[in-house]
Amino acid sequence: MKLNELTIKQAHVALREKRISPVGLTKACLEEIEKRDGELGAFLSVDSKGALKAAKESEKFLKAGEPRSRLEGIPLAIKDNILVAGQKATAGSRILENYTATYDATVIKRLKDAGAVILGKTNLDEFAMGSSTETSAFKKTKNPYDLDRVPGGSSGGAAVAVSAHLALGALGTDTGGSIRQPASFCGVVGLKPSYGRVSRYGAIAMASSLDQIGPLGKCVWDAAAMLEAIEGSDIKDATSVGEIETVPPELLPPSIEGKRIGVPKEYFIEGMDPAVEKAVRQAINQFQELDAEIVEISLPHTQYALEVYYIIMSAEVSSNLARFDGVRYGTRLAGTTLDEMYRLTRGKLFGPEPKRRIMMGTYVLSSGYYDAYYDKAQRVRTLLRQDFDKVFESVDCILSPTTPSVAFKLGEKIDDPIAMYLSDIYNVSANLAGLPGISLPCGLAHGMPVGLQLMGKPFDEETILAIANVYESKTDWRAHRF
Amino acid sequence: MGISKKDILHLTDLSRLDLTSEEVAKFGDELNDILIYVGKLGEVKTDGVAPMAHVSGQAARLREDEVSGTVPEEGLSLKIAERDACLKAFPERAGDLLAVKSIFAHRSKQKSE
Repeated sequence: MKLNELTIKQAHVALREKRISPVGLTKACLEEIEKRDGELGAFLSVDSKGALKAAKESEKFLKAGEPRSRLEGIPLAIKDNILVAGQKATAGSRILENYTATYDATVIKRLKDAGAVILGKTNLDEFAMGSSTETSAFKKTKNPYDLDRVPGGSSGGAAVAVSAHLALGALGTDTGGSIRQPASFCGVVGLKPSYGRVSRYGAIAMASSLDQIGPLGKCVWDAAAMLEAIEGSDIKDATSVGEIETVPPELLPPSIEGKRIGVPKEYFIEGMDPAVEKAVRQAINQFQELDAEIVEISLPHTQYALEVYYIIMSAEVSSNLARFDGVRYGTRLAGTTLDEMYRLTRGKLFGPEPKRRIMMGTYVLSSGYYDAYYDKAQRVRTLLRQDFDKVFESVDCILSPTTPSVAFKLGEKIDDPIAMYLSDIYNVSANLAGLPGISLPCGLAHGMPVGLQLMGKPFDEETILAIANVYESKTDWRAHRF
Repeated sequence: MGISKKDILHLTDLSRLDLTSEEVAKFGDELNDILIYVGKLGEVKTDGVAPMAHVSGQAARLREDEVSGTVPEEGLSLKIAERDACLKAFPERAGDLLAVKSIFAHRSKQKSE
């Protein structure tokens, strides 16, 4: 087995026992990137020099028998909307094409303090808007299981980096499924933490009441290890929450006997791929064999979740993207007046999806329409959250498919915004209600990975990680070797 | 409630986005489709339901306005490095100053708000 094919769980033991070196591990990833990324397109930039420097630093700590954390010497990939000081942060957009980050995001600072090695920045849909990574201004990313298919999005590059063993783990962001859906399409584990669990300082904001940074990994243990390193209150993010009970991955319980798993009847819909449904129902049977209790539940406002999401998300997007104006950073297209500069810079350098959403957001917030759209959406958001609060009185977590289909072909949905938006249908509720959600592989359909999603109570990552971990240990759907 | 070309142009004013005439036509159609789709929310009864802007209903968290202690050596050099990085990011500079077009001298052809 090549070093880059190890999981974090395996690598951290091998590093401590000095059977492998962090420099060797990082080199193996860099070599794989060199060999395969021309074809896959997962990375926008690779920092070999910085990575090897960090690996050499890790070597000192490991030689002294004092690793700073489980992530000491572990090579990771970072989605290009999270700031790493001194490296470009493009958000997949021409408006930031040559922007160099002037500071580290809090999560990056924490990873560096933990001794992790940052390999480079991964491709994404422009400003994290999309479900296929096709709206990136720079390149398309391909699904390693089938190069004619999308990796999902918007954290497509991150998911591919993990799935194709270019990195041992990655960080992505999730506003309406952007970690979980690509994880599902690429056969890896992806976790969106509860809103407020992980600091958003240094993540380029898309929709501030929905965004979360989270890990993508080859297995549940790896995702838990990365979460533990980055989570926790941050004075620089006023929405990050104080008292978090960290879940060390070694301490995840080995049994899920008696756990009550809710299956929402509204989530098994017409138009769902029957092969995907079959794989998920098989997983449900598996949970029963593991002595969990399956409970049919109802989330009656599910049918409105996408509408609520699109209104609230685009409103917040229109506000957050106002800062990209060519004034202080990024590319500027000068006109003859200040106003012309704004309009040219934004008009020419934003791609169609950000422009579409900015206009949608401006519309729903504008006078005369605010009550009918934005205010209404916020009230229905409360109703959606109440559906979950009610259901969590009688179950410990909620199970569903991550997506209604497997990865679709490149170009298939890009001209049909609504068809693209529908692939988020199972994911957006977790963002709207602030709940944690994890996707893990549960089978194959048409040769492509199928993902299973578990949603938990607010700040109860422990339960969904535990249930996912036990399921994974009894099945065999890990990321393949290619 | 359809979106007209005039509405689209008004939106481009509000959001400071220049669009080509093809984009105006295309976005008009797409936004209309999306608005029909999200208009479904009109059927939900929400009397007496509070709007949710933040998942935990948290109001803005405040802290004391205190000056943090003396900046240690390495802290200071970090701050200088950060300042230099910000200056380097300016699209147009005049020394250490950010250069932009005059804010008051000109107006665009649109009516001012």
